Amino acid sequence: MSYRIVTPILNEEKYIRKFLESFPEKHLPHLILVDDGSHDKTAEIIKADYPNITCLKHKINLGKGKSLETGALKAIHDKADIIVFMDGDMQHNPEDISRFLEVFQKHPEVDIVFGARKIGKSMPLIAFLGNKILTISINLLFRYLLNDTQCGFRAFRSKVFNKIRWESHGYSIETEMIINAAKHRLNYKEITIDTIYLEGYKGTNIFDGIVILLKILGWRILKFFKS
Amino acid sequence: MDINGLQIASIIFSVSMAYFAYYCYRKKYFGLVSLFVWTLIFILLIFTTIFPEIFAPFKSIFKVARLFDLFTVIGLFFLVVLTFINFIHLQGLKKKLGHYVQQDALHQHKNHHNTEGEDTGKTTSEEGTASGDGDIL
Repeated sequence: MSYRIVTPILNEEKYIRKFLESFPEKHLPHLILVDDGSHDKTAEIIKADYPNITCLKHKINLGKGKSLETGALKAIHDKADIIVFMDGDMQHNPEDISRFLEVFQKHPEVDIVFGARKIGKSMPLIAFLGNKILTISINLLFRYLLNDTQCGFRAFRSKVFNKIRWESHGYSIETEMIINAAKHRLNYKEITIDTIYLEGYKGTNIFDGIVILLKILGWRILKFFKS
Repeated sequence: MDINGLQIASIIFSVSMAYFAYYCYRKKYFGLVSLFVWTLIFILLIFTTIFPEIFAPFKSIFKVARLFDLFTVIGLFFLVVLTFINFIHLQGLKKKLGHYVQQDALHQHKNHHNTEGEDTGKTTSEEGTASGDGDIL
């Protein structure tokens, strides 16, 4: 079973070495980094210090959704069976990748595996509340029961890529992917993962949360009219 | 003929915009057809400003108290239509640009590895990286 790990990165010249050093050696050749138009030397550092790692560079910033799509297309081109999405801000533990792959090995019927962050003191209150509101909205409106809909650590079989393929450019990609998976009734599992919240967090903010919530409502209305 | 301040402002605005349209045409931002359409719009605006009473029969048809209200509503419709057309064009451009940047990223990587392969005597297929040509999106 071949796999690729897709990680979008943006202006990470300070942390990219630390990120790659923390990566298990066995997973490194499977890593696809997508530099989403960094203004610093992120891509140059990778090419110089880690020539064996696949690094794709967007000339301009397209957003997280498009970066993940570019990486997924490369993974499919490389004939990967499993595509793992992982954030590049060192929030996720790369050791968990093996746990995602194990689920696919043990359960051939599973199409998609979602990571669910542990709710603890480390999670900022605003992130916790926003996450809960979005998760409950998706659970109620699409009847796809998950504990954490906004976690970027997830994996899927490449054969279902066209079913879950998203239009979103930015942070709505996680939500749109779930909604598309729900639409096609894909088999899923959820595993609990470790999360580290670092200073200088670049992920979703309250405005992104509001946009995602509005999009959820829009997608539900669209689903109603289509059905 | 009695011309008030608002009419003068409207005429100055229309003339300025007509000149701006001509300037954009000279700078080759758009072609002759666009220049003709926009100039026609501004000439019509000047004409409407100077002779608003021509449209008086429409007051009863649209059941409005003043012609000014009618022009405001028509102006708003025009703005909404323009905004919508702009939005559609912007979405199309965004899609095309995204497609181009993605293609560029994927092809650049492929070419980079092909060059390395030539240098080291390896081919891309030996390295297990991308192979094959064409649009992969």
